[in-house]
Amino acid sequence: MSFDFDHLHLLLNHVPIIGFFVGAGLFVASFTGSNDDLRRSSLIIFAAVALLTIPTFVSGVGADRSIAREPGVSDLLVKRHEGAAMLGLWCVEATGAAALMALWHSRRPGGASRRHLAAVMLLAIVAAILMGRTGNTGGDIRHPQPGVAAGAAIAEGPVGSLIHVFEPSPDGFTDLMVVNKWWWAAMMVLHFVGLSLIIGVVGAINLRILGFAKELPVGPLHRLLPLAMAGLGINVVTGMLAFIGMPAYYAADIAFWFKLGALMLLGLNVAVFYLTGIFHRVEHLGPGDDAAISAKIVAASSLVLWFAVIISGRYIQHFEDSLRF
Amino acid sequence: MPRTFRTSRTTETCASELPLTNSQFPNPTLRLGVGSWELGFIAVPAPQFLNTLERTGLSTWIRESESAFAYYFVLVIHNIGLALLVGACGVLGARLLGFVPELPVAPLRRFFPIVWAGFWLNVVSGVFLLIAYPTKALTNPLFYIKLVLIVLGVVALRRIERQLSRDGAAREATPRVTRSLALWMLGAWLGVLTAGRALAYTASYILYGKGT
Repeated sequence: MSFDFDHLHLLLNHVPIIGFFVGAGLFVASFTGSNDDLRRSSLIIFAAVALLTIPTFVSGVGADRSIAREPGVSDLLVKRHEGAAMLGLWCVEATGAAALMALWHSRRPGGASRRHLAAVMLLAIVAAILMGRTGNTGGDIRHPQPGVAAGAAIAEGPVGSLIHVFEPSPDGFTDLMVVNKWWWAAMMVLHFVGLSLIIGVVGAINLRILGFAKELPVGPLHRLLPLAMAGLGINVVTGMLAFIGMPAYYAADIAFWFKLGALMLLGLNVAVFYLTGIFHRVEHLGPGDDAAISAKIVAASSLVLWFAVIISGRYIQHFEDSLRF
Repeated sequence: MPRTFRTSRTTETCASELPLTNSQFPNPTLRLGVGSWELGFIAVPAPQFLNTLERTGLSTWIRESESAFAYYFVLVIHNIGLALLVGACGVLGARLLGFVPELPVAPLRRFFPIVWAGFWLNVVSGVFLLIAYPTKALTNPLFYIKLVLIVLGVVALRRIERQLSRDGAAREATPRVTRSLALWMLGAWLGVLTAGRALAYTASYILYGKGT
């Protein structure tokens, strides 16, 4: 089976760059006049873009492989882009996590602390700069600046050379992840702990909404959600580290892409649950109360999608080398 | 020309749970050890029944079939069982340890059928995994640690279940003994999960006479 990663990457790569420039701009603007709706919108943008950055990052490996077949492509420019993406990825994910925590705290009286919001702003601005750098280094692969021949050393500007100090060597990072089988096993242990936290908490909330264990009030049950968010954080970190350890193995696997697709649909599911008023209608359900049919549909699809994530994740080894690009 | 990518042999050994990179050992003698820490001076002969079991039709089919319903299907079941068991126990344990005290404890009893469904799914799928790779599990000390921890986890879980069905409805304040049982249970499941994952990547032997 063949797949056009080059075009997928060219399509997706606009999302983190534009998303973070727009999001960071809106977030800064929300402090002039303390516009709470605008601040909430920008936090939602950061979380959504952090999710979409994952397929953007991993589709880069496929694009990398297709572009490497073309004559005149500088390997150094490709490596520089990979290093920039690896640095930017963590900053984007950290911003998304901090934004989700701020959204969680915004439900309390008084909202998220000023220190927390300042941390989000700092992370978002740095992420926007790193996304700009990643975009520029990526663009240079196809359209190098005049005078840059394939294989020639790359001249960096003042900003580029500063950021470059912090960029990992892509091959070195990859080697580090697979250098020791106990390190790999430890990452997988954490990945399964995160899985259990997510399925336990999200599964309990969804089953309650569906009418199972109706004696449980939804509000207090939903307050367990930070455990699931911690699990998600653990799994994004360990999952991306595992991907960096064996990028070509995962990118050439149809089960891996199925898993990512299910995760993206889960992002949509969460957005429908919290942003269309469904959550506000189930939040105050007490013992014995029945949830609306819309809430039950969202809960059922969440359960199905989370188990699809587990099943397709477990089938990754079975579908090894199932994609050609 | 496509550039070569990082799927080095180290990578495959790390990630694969199938015998991709085994070198044939000269004789079926087991060296006791955990993963790469082999205690070469301790050597015991491998029990012949491991070899016999590996040659049975069922063992060979689970291990070698190209079907999506063979080895990886058993692993999927084992993983879903883990998610149900550890996930539900995680919610229960978090509440018993004092997380979200406004959540009533008594209705959490409704999750016990899910916990036990996960447990029995994993007993059955675990037996099938053992049939597929008997030498891999039975020559690794981690497997015996895992079995002991499973017993500990089940004992703690049974005691929590009895306490909740006896007086969980009557009072909401968690007695200290239940808190320590919850800690004991969560620790046991964490250990089981860790031993299981480590078993997949750090076995000394994959098949009879075939070391990693």
